[in-house]
Amino acid sequence: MKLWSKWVALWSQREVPTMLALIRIFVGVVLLWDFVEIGLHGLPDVMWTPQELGGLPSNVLQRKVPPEVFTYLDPSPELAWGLWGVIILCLVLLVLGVATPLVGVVLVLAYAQTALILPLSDRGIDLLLRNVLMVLIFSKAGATLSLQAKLKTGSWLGDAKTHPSWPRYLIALQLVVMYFMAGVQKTALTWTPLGGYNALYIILHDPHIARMDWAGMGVLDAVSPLLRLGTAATHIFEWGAPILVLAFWFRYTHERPGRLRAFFLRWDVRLIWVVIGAVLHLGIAIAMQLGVFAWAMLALFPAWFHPDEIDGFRNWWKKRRSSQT
Amino acid sequence: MDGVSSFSLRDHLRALAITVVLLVHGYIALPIPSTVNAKQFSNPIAKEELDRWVGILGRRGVVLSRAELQAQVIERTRGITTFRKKSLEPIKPFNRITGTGQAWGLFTYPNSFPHTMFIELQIDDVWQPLYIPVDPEHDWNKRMFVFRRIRGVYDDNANNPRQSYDNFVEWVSGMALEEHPQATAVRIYYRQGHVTLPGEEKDTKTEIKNERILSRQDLQ
Repeated sequence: MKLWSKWVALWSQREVPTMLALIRIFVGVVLLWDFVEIGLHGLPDVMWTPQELGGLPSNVLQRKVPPEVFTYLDPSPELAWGLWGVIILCLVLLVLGVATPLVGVVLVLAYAQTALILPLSDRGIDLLLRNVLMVLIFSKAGATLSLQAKLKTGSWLGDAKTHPSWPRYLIALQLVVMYFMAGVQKTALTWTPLGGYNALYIILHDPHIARMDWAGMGVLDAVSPLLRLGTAATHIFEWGAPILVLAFWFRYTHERPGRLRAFFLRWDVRLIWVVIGAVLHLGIAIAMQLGVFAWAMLALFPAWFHPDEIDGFRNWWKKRRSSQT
Repeated sequence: MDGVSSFSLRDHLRALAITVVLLVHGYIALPIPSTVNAKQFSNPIAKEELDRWVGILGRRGVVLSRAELQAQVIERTRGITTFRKKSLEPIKPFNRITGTGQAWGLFTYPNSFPHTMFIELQIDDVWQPLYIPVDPEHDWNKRMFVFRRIRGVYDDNANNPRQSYDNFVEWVSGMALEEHPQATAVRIYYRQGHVTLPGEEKDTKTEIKNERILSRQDLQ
């Protein structure tokens, strides 16, 4: 019973939802960029109408369970563009912070339809973002840094009331699960010492993935030791994700004794892990063409931080600047 | 951690709901192998990986041929997958309609047999390159082809081209011929190479795959 009470206590924590609002804005901006690009290339009708109408999806109407949008509405280029318009509108409202729960529901359903129509153009990052949007729907991510807050309280920051912390915890936990499972599933030997940690060397040879012809330029052979290091770092970083849960627990129970806890608190292991992650994602963004992947991952990183840490950072920065002057 | 004993019914229900979500998603996220069939093992990446495992197991005293290891993997994954599929049946409709789930195989198997897609135009009976990945001299519609949502369509069709590949070819050919009135046909194909590891002898052999040629008449 005591354990259950502690469990309830954990999920009943409260905080100002600044970090959730940042995630809401960053995710909205990243997806907006992605979907605007779909529109700029004129792709909605190509991607979301069946082959019978000249689109890319095959056998979409013959499936046992066709996408719901085609069950209730006749497929057409206009419908595809309408779906795109709904998603764009939802994303704008999400970034502005207007009726976040309702907008979130419509967005998730419409976004999921695009995945059902053309699964080939929907990647793991889309799945992750929809998971996060589902959490945001049940959060108070629109209570601050939003138009809703401005209209309600006169300030963009809202009334600084506290709200449940659990949505942030769930997003952080989702990231831990994602990284760890990605690490566990990297069973190819080239991700391990047995394969010489050569995974990145191979991946960057793929002309559909590489940002430039790194192989043709002779870059990959020249920097292969660095790529081995990057491969090892990626694998260790992913396998090490559960450390974040430990780090979170130690921060949550910081008043308790213990050497390991003291070590984690003194060295802020969480921050070290987060910085390594950010560097790896930036490396991916520079070397590969994976679209919004790296930026979408970074958009979720505020989940690692308590909103009070923003004030802490602000104070540290002011102190640093005043000491310099 | 304060007020442990003063929780409302709402607090308890919230914790209960989160527990259920965590258990369900934790189960979905478990890295249980999915069924592998003989056709999937015909993929050169799978063959190469199996050979590496045969070598490693052999050095540890477990002597198996590639065929034997393949048969064991197929047999062992079948039962697990059936159980997993059945147990996830109740939650499937919700995950489908919301597009949510837990599947995080990111670059699980780096592709050591990468493909390069070529798009060419036939002008005066001569094939001329129009688009070649990472080639700045042939970058027709490059921003669209590298866009992840379009790359997904042609990249995932490289090893095992399905109907969506032909749809893609038809769409691209239509665009190319419309923009280049002097052209009479479009050819799209993949050139598959092999990446060897640093220190190994380079493999310069390539194979042309999935070639499709569409003329103006075909598209009309």
